[in-house]
Amino acid sequence: MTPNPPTIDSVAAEWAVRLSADPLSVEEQQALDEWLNADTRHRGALIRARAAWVDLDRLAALSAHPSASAPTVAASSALSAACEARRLESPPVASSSRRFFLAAGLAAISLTGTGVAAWRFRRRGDIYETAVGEIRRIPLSDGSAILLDTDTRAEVRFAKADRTVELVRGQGLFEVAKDAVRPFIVLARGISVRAVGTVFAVRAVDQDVKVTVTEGVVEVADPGTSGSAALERVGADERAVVSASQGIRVQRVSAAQIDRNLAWRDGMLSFDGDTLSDAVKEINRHNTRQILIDDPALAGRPVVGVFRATNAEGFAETVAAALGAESAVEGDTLHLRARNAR
Amino acid sequence: LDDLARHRWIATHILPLEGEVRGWLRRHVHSLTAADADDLVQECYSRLWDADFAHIANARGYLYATIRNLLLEDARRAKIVPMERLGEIEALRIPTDEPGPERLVTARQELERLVAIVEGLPAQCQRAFRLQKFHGLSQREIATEMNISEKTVEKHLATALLRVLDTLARQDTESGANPPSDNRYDTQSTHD
Repeated sequence: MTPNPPTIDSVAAEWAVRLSADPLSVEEQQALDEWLNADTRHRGALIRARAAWVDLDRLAALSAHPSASAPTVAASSALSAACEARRLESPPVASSSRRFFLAAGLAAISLTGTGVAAWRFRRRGDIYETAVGEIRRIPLSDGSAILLDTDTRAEVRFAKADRTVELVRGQGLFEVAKDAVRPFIVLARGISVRAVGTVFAVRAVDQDVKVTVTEGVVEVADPGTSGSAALERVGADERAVVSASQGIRVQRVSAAQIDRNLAWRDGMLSFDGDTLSDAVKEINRHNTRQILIDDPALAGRPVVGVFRATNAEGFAETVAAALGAESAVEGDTLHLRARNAR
Repeated sequence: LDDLARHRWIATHILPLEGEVRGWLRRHVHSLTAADADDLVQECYSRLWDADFAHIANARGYLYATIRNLLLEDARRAKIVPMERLGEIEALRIPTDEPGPERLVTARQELERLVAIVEGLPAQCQRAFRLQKFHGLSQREIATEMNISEKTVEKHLATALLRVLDTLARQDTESGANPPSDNRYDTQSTHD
């Protein structure tokens, strides 16, 4: 049998290694250029191979400091197994490793709901507020927690009969600890969302109040402007939109949509075909530096991507590049406009 | 940024996501063959290289947006997917996720995988690779040390790199079973 013909990757690997050593001779450079020009795929393959080759330098860094906090190569699997085991048991005391810390943080989060609420502070009318661009997690005395989005104000009132949180403005994700005798009620613009033990988000930003449920069931009640009260049960993967004109409408939402809508909890905003004007509105909520769309033709263009909520500039640049527009800084605002014809 | 810094950026931000992206492609674009996926990934690296890294706030989002754009371009040229799939691509769900603990665990696994690759290399090849990447020797120094030609050293190193590249492309078999964003809630839920 003849040996396998060289694949794109095998040639790319050879060039990547060659390029990491001495400078190329004239002949070599010529051969490389020829190879790159022969097929459009070659360039990407070489970039990938060179990146992977550079990446392998990490091995040297790791083996050079066996006593440092980074795992040595030989010991890495044992160490990670130990990390894994401890992560499952309990949050570790202190660790210099950030990675470790993150894993521990998650473990701690999942514990909050399971009855660590031995902590018996009774808070009454506590006000929590986030600044623009801030996202904060507020653990509550009963084991529940609220994640407050940017520019949000919530008032927490816990009583014997119920647990009430008034969402004065903004958006919150509520992780409710089970308590059959004390329902958890979120009030937003007169609408009440009642839960026993669930996870749901309430948004009081636009005219409508939106309630998105990711776990369990909540009851959404709207006293109604005309006095006719309405009540709807909203389950997991459903969303209720409550508007003055149309009352409560319950829709099914996909897991993907929920993830996108709740990307803010990770400090991100995710758009998948939203219009630029909607996306900008959402980005602007998170930033003091505001984006303006100068060109009305741009406003309706769809935006796709995941962006850091507090990076208005990055958003503007990326979107401008994607839409063939340009972004310009003028004083305190960022302007998006059609690119001038050259 | 010089070329080395740019390769590092790609190594740090994009390479660890390659397996995931391939898994995502396999699950969502069924008409894509393995060879198409290779082409697409290569094209994607080429496209990424031309981007201004300083302005990419979220590499993951950018990577998926790039892949999606390439799919759309290919669909329009009817190269990979027939026209009627266009709408499907438009609707493709882009996973949204920040490097959470799951991802970091994956980074650790990735390191272990690298070590496993090195340990699986033929003896001479492994020795040359270790001398360069663990001990920082140049190709010339390795040639002297092992008493072989520099060209042979280069061949050994390229073999090692090719193994790594193959693994990069195949690592989605483990991590790509579920879209990462689907699991996230389980770890945060408060119900008991």
